[in-house]
Amino acid sequence: MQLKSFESYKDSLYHCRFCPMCKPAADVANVTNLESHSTRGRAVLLWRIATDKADFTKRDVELLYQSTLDTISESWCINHFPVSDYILSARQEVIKRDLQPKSVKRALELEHVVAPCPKSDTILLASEAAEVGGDARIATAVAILAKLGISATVYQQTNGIISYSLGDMDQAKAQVERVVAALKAAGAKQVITDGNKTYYALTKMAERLGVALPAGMKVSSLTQILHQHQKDLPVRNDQRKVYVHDCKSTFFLGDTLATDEAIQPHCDGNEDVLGTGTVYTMPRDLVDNLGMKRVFGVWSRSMAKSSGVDDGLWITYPMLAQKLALQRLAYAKNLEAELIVTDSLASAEYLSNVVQEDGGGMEVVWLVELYR
Amino acid sequence: MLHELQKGYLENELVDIVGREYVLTDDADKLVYGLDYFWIPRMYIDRGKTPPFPDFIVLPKTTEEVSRIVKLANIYRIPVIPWGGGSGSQGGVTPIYGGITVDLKRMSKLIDLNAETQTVCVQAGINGYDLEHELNRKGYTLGHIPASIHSATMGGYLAARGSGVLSTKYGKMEDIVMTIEVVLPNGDVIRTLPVPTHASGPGILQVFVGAEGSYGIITEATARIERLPEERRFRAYLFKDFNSGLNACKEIILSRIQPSVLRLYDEPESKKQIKKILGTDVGEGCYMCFGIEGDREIVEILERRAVAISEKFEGAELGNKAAWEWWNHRYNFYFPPKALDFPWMFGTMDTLITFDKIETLYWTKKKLLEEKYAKWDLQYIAHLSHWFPWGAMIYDRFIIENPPWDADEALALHNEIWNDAARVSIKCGAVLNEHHGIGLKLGRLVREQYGPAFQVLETIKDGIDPQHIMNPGKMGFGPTHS
Repeated sequence: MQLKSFESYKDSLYHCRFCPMCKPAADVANVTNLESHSTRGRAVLLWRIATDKADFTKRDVELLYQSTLDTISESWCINHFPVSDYILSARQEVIKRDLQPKSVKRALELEHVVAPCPKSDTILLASEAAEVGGDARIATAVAILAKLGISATVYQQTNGIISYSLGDMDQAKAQVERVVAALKAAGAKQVITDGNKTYYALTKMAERLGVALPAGMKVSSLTQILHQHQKDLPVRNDQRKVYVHDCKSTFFLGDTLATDEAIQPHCDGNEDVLGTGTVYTMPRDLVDNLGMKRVFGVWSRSMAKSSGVDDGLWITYPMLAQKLALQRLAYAKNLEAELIVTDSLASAEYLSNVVQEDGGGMEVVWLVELYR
Repeated sequence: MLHELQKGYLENELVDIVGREYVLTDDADKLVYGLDYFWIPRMYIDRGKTPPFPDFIVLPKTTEEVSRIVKLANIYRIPVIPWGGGSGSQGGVTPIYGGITVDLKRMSKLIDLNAETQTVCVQAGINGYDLEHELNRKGYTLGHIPASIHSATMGGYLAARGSGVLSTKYGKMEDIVMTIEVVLPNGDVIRTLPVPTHASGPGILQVFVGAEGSYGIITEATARIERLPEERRFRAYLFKDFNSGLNACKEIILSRIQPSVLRLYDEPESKKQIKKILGTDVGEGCYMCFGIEGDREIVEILERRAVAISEKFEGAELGNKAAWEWWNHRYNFYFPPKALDFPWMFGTMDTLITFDKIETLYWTKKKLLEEKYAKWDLQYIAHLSHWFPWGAMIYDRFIIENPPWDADEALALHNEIWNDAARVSIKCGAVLNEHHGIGLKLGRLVREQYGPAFQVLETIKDGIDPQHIMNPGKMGFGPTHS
């Protein structure tokens, strides 16, 4: 569905502006505890602007960007009001009026150009690695793919998703067009993505921005490849208790969002109420097949809280992003997990860095590394 | 009124206490913190007007920081308004005289769960859902499951003497709390006695529970917890009229069956809400459901007794599907667009009364409001949902679908309806409120309710908070003394 004009979301904002029901959900509000970061607080400010009762102030804009796209509140809401879309639309409006904060302008500078893509049939598009680092992890992925008989060439390049999530749709479109053109020029037939954020960017985000992939170019996530080749992967009996972290882009890739059972305080055990889709079941199948014991956490699947490396936040407001990461780590610890496994390279890299700075205490593993 | 220069100095001192990051003065933040679930400030926003703002918002991390903030407020003679989840409907946090809104949500730790005593100790800013979810994971429940659970905090629960859906069995918050830590208006930090029941003089605990921040800021609480029930069962019935349903419910309570849930809806609400929200066509009559929970054997016996009573009063059984539907989807009532919301004017006039007077109150209030406000097409709906050994709470609501657009007219109409509703409750022998509290909305009626007894509350206030800095203008108390 196309993003609508900001004013078009005033009906949704009308309902959200006084509703306190998704309080436990919102990412940033639950680390800062500021009412102004809550979905309700944000909605009341945006509603006034969308209905011309007020104009964007510096603080309104700051609060708008001190946030992820808040997909978790959208999923939590039993009516799934389009919270992420009205945030995106508001940001798009801010960009149009050139009101974005300096930190956002700096983040947008990352996506002006693309490097050429090395020629290959099979490309590992490492956009998440381009964002946060992770060369060693990429090398591991290439090695694992090789063991599966897939010879992949790495193309480490941002793909427009940072610009998209910050509201600069023109730049996002231009960037993803450049990436697609580079892949096409490289002769890529199969593109494997290093995480769900990259997968989302090249598929649903591109489609939304009106960018089509060349005919015959197939996009798969690394998780899909691993899942398809399960029987060829080494088998281990790893009995550790693991918490599976879903990156926030999975919200857009799943089949269903959370049901109203998810908001019950006693919700425990049945992950399907948190959202369904192969984007969730595939990494879990892989983890289960390794003998690991998954722990249930209600902030999972389409209700996954941010690891900090979402929606540009680690660039625009790094202190907030770090708080989100620490919250995620503390959550997994509270569930008595011994490690966190994620199929998001960016989440694995960022959380690992935060763990290191914080003095250790939780192992964070990128899914593919389990097969090293 | 503080001069801008003084405000600047005060801001510096607040920053010294909590840090720059946790002192907010921007108008955007002030607007957000001026709104809870009270209809009036929301109506102001809806009409493009500006509701009351605080001067500062601060987010302390410790009781010591709260104490220092309160001491500072005394020096500057500036109001202090405690803030939890912002889910109150009575204007308890509306900063009508400005001041410092103290948001306690950074103080949200679960400090200790004592399995031997079956109690939990928490900081007051802990979110209700987070607490209950954590307790459930460990096999316990607070037993306090209000509609506001996703937004409210422990401090808010206690400030308003809240009731949850299971209060008929587990009690209201004033029954569940064991002991609290309070920052007094002079900044001193006190703890109430370690047990709530004793013969060691008058109970100080209950002075602060329900005081809505007028006597101090609750910063920590220990509450009893319950084991998650082995069995939970529901049944639903349709009674031909309100009287039959009420008689059945009274008998269930007076037999001391102690259901966890007992809800009786009047005919309009049965028709309007139950059908709309559950999608179940209940037919003509009054919907009733009850829940029994606990050890399986005991539940078995109590359920049989409750069923027998319901049948004695000619309740037609609807099976337990309808009741489970209500239980499993009860929060759906509070999400838009199903929740009562703008552009409607609405209010929940919950009150508490003894069994012998319930029907008189119900019919008197219904008749008064529907007739007097017929030109506004006022709808009156009610259900009884919190039961006590001697009476019940009428959870009644008024709805006006097309209220005046002009803010002053809307305010006048709103207050007139509330005056009438509250006064008829008092006249019939009921109280102003059962679990939402008094706040700003009903403050002007507290003196009427208490009569000469109000001087007791007032004397405590004058003694404990001589400058009236704590949440002024609420509970019938006046502004901060300048």
